[in-house]
Amino acid sequence: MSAVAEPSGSPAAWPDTYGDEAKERMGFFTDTSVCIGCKACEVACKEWNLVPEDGIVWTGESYDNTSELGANTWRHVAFIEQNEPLHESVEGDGDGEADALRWLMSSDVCKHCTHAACLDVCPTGSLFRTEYGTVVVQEDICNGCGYCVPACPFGVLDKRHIPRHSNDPPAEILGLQLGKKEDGRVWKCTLCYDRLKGGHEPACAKACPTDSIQFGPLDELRERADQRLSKLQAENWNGARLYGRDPDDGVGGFGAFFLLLDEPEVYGLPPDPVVTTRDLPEMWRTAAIAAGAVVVGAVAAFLGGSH
Amino acid sequence: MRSYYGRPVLKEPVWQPEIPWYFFTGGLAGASSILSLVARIGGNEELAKKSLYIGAAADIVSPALLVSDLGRPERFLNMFRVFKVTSPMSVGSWILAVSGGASSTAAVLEATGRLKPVKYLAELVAALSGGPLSVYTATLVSDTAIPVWHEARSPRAMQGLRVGSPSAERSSRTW
Repeated sequence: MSAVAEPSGSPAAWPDTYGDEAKERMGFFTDTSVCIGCKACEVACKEWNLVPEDGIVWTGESYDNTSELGANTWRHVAFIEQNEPLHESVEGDGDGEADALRWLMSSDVCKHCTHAACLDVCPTGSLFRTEYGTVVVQEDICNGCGYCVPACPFGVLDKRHIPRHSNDPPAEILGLQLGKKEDGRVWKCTLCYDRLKGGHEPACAKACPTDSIQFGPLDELRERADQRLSKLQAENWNGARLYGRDPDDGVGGFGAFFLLLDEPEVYGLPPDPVVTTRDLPEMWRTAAIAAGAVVVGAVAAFLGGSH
Repeated sequence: MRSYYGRPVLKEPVWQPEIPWYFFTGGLAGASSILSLVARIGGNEELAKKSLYIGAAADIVSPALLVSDLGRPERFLNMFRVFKVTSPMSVGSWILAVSGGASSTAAVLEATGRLKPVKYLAELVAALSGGPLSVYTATLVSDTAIPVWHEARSPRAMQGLRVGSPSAERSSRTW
């Protein structure tokens, strides 16, 4: 049972499995206190990764018209309008910020969890841990089973429901049109695995004009984030906190973590994400009891019927 | 209550109606295989035969439903690229492959009346894998971030018993 109890993708699982090819764990630190909502990250991501259009709609939700992360949105800038001051009022300060408006902006992305549920539950091995410690879907292997979609505690992954090619015939097996015309696979942020391989930073970080998106070795980013948080706290910024920095949280810390200015829920993020496979042994135990009940039921039914 | 424009944090599962139907046929297949062996041992040949056929039929329908639900059905063999203990779907795919192979083999040999020892072996394998086949989908759905599924993982909740299992017994006995 111990093999099951330990979720794959734990820090011990890499870089050990890569041997000499292992690289330093890379990640993002998204400092939302300097995000200006320009969406350059969204555009750069789409251009570099050839991510298709995700619907041209006006949501009326502040400046946000992409709404959420998904198969066709790998960076999503959230906009939150609040009747709250940007700085906490200090005793005897009276700086007149009481009825101020603040506009929160945050560029959300796949968290590249240390314990990634999507990776654990993927039955094909399409989702894998790279030598940089990031989590990537191999699109030539994904068969679109969709298990990772409800497994992700952040709602990052989704199936792509658009035609593969405009003139693509539906897949046929034994004359049955089992295949749908859609792409049918799941897609998400790769932390620009191809660019990392070439020694470049991810497209979103490269395009960010304010360095709200910072890319680098995770240890370095954590140090930088700690310094930034203490600075903001010293300046009495309202609600400044780090999200996903703690390696002891339910997913073992994020590879892409954040500095937020309010509770995670406000940004559409779960306050206490947990990797679901942590409880897998308990689930199998319950299932084993249920299997025993099926056998007992079968025996009882037979005994009862043999009069 | 604070949220981002009232949007759910999680994504809605993308599984189509094939999957709940499979929960039924998989449970039917597993429980029927068990019932068949129990009846065989108990000497009720008629019941053993009927539940064997029902189980084999359900075992053949099950993978068809699963393949149909895939976003890329032509890639269904990728389920057997690896055996992953952390993925109940990977474990379940192998269980279904073993159970389906055994029960359909046993059913064909039963119908043709050949190779009795092989048939008994196949029946034994089908019955042994029948239990795991009946219940692994409970592990599969509770191994997600969906709170109502994940929180039902304790033995107390016992959501694992599939709807198909009791009806397997009923249909075998009244057929």
